[in-house]
Amino acid sequence: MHDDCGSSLTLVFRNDLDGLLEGAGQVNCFLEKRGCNPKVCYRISLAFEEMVTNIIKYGYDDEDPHTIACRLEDDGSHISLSIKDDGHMFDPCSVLNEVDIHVPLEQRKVGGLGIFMVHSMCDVFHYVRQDNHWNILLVKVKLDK
Amino acid sequence: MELKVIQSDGEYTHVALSGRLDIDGVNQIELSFVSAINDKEKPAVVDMTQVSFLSSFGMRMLLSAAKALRTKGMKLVLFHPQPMVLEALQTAGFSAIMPIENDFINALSALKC
Repeated sequence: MHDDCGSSLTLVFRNDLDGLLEGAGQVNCFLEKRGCNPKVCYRISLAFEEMVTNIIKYGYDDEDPHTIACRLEDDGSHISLSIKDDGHMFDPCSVLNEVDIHVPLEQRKVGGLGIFMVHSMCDVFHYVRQDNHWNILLVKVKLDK
Repeated sequence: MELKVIQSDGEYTHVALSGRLDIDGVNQIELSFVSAINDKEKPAVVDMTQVSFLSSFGMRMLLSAAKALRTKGMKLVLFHPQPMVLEALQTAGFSAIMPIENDFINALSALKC
């Protein structure tokens, strides 16, 4: 489900792979319609996939369906992506130090790169916990990148 | 996402990937990729020319392959990634742990170092 008002897009989807893929398709459509350059498209697309996948994989203890909501906005200087979920409280900034990209190949962990990549490739990466119930992550990418 | 085995006999394995190496893309090809590369006793070149997107799931697949070959004294070389894919690889520190080459002759040389 989505609501497209030209310079912004609101979408909601299920916390499963089908929901992720559907949401990713909507995100990519929006970015194309806004005429964003490939670098911006890549960064926002990456942020969406990585952060939503984390929510789906680790955010819930039950098998119940949950709804994840996203809002994309083009304010002329940035594309912003906010992701809102009702999973466990989780501040993605808390795991950034767990990745060390400077160790030799043998010592590199194969996982954990998703949040690190999004944090590295976006200009704003901001998390809040709202009403002791909602996780809200905001990322922004500058349009002149 | 599509995986094509260009060469599997001889001194090295050469595969080409095309499409998006996101969670869905990795799901589609990971078993074939592991079978073609991780399980072999020879170095490998992965042609990334047609890979338009690489997320951490794709990085995990490539890193696992590189580590698997490393335990056998072999190398994994990434060939000709697109600019944004290259930027993602560099951001993740991959250029320090595996050769990334734009010239195929250099890629083959890197297999042997």
